[in-house]
Amino acid sequence: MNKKRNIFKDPYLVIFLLFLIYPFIPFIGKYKSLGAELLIWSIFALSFNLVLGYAGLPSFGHGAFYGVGTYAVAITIMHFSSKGVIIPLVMAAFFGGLFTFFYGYLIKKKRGIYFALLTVAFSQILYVIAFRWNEVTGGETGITSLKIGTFLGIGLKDPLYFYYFTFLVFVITLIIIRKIANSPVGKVLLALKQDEKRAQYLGFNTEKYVWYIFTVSGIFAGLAGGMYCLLHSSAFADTLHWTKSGDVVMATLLGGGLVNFYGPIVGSVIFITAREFLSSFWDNWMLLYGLSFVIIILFIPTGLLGIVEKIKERKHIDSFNNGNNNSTMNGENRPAKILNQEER
Amino acid sequence: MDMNVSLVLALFFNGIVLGLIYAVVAVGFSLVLGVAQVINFSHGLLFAFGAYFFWSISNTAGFWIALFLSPILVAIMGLLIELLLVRRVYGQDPLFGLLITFGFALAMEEVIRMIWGKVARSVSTPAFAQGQLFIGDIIYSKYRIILAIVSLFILLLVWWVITRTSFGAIIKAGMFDSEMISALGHNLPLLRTGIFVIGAFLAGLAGVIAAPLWSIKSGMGTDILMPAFIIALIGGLGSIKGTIVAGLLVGTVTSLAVLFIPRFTDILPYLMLIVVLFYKPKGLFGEVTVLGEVRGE
Amino acid sequence: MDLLRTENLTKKFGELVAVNNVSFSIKEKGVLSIIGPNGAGKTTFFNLLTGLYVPTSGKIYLRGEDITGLPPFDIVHKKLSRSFQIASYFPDFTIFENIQIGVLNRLGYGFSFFSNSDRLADVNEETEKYVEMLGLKDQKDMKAKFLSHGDKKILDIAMSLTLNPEILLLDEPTSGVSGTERTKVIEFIDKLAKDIKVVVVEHDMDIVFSISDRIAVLAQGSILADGTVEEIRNNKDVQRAYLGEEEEEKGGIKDAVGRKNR
Repeated sequence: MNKKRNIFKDPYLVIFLLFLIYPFIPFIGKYKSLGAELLIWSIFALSFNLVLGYAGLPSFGHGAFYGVGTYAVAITIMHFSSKGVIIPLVMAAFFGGLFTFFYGYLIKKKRGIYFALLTVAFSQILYVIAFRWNEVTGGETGITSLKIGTFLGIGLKDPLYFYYFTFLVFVITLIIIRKIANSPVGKVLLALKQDEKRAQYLGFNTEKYVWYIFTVSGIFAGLAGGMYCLLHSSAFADTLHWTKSGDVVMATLLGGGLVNFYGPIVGSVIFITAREFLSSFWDNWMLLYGLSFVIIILFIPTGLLGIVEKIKERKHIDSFNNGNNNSTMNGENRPAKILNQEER
Repeated sequence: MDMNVSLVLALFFNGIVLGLIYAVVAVGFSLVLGVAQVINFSHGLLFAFGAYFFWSISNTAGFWIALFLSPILVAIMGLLIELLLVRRVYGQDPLFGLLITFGFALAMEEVIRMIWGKVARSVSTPAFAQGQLFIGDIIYSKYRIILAIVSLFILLLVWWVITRTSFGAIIKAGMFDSEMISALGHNLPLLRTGIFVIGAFLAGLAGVIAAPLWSIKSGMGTDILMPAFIIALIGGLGSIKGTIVAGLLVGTVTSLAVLFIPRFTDILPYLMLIVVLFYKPKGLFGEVTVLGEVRGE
Repeated sequence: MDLLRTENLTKKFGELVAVNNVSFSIKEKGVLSIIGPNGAGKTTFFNLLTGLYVPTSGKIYLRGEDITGLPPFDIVHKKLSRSFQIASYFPDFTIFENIQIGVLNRLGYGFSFFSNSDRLADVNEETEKYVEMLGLKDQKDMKAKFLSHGDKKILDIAMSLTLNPEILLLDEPTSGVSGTERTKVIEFIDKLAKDIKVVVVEHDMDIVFSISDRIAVLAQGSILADGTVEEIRNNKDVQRAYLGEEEEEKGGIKDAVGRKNR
């Protein structure tokens, strides 16, 4: 995955700045809650992409861990009368990670369709529990009208303050996840995504890596869910339903999460913004929403940044074709034979 | 004491009826997944359309025409889905097939709401099937009994075709080795399309016969999708016998569980799936795996 | 002590017996070639030795240690590596990254969550050495999927070396490779054989007879014969079952180039 190649500067600075000045951007800046939601989704999608884009595993029930986060915050505030926001968020991250830790251990050997369907099954179990366990989760009605506490003494009722609080959480998350992605562990995951057998033959216990990254992903998914609960002062079971997991998959794919670290952020921004505006204009916006899945899968499966990556790749081979005429790859004085790009 | 036994029996029968309906829907899903290795998440939608077509047509042209026509219309829908969408994702990451059919289902669910509105519809049971039957101490709905018998009949018919006809043999072989099928001269694309259409027909038919039982609402497709895929996987891909057994198992267990954990019965199918996938990844009677682990064998 | 030893090693796939009760020793010195007709079980044998398959029955000993049933990632750490019949590498990684990943593991960074994988001096130094040895220094930043077929096979072999194996199993290293690339691969293997134990599965008899010290013949899952090059050459059974066919087909075993190209 190309993160900081010679051609492109690492966009993290750009992203940081854009989100920093977001509330002051004309036309869109005034929707501060939307901004917070974009950040929250970016956190969720980044953590999800560790599993999908890096390890190459189709988790189709990730919404469950996000949902667990929303309830962790809600329950901590409601039943344990938490005054601040840090402890609830820590609980959110903890429980998100706890569930992925245990479930990850169970499914770390599975791949492909089995992995996908097992993640759906698990998320549905959690969904039913959330939907029916009235005493704890509020059942169908969920938990609403939470009193959100303060962060370091600053009240979070003001959308602007909340936005920057969310921005802070986002930045911390981005730094950590980016570090992991650029680390040896990140490379191992990409390797196992491309050829797991080969990775095993290089001494990597791939199951362990799957387990670990699934857990890490759950921690941040839970955190994102926790933030969501703070944003809306409520928690509902439908975030755990498998159909909602489809949202984060699409957002990640749309942005190009399969081939680029920042894909999830790009995808989240476009996806959430589109959904917000579309749903406010058109009652039957779900039609377009569903069709967008179809169009994306058919025409841009590697997402928007995937298109960028393809262009970069073309430049990449060109530089090897034209630049090095002294290449003695075949023992002959001609450039390397370029094989068909579409491998799989 | 007596009341309890009747209650249990009634629940048990309900479970059987439910399980058989699920099985009819699941069979199509299972065959498509087994033969074409595609997770068709629009399968539930076809079930819903079966019910909605039935509602519309029976209100205008009467019961029998609706009964006959609806599954056919759904089969045509299936054909279009296969030709326009599913074909494009054969051989690719199964996630793509899942997403594309899922997206399509979401969109079409909205179309249902646009055409038929958000209000739940209902169809009454046909005159000849109304009323109750008395079995010993139990009063049981006549329609449910007919439903169970019809479903069983459909399932046995499918089972017979798969196991006893040459067409079925080709389908079975296609699940194990699609390359071989092409090499032997059979038209693989046609086979895949055929399976898909048959699956769609069955889903639509299930929607028709289940319509009088449940209320017809736009979410019914999504609602039945999960039970269908769970049963398909528990039973084993492409195994009709497996689907029937799994359907009965899941139906009865979920139904009877109401006596013990009334609130959380919906968890059971998922738990059962997880357990089965761990000890028998191929399902109870399945012979085909769908991309399992790296270090297999 | 034998380097690698199997005891009644059997692998069945349902009714099919791919490896049939093989008890075989691989000595410490010399290049061993394993030959045999297609479907004889050679790759299955390698898969068993390296842990990709679990034996149906029997045992495998590496330097006297029972490694039966261990997974590939454990066995590789015990200094037994392999390359693949169909070159296995990471297509979207650069050549440098393909080598680097094994080095990362060997130098202990396997579970490092927070260091930057591209900025580890010791790793980069080691990786550079391998890249130079490969003769692919100019292409080191090129994505591996764009390599020529022969170079992919060399990359595969080089990757297997990054964990400093003492034994290397090469599964048809020259298959699909022709011309000067083929010579390149053979020279590469020759050089390797000076430092580590090499076991090769090969179809090209010329190569087999020129580089091997010992040859084992596998047919239908069993060892038909096993001995020095001369012994195998003169073995009537082997000639009849395997070499003989080849001789008749080609009118001599001299012309090996391009024969088994896929």
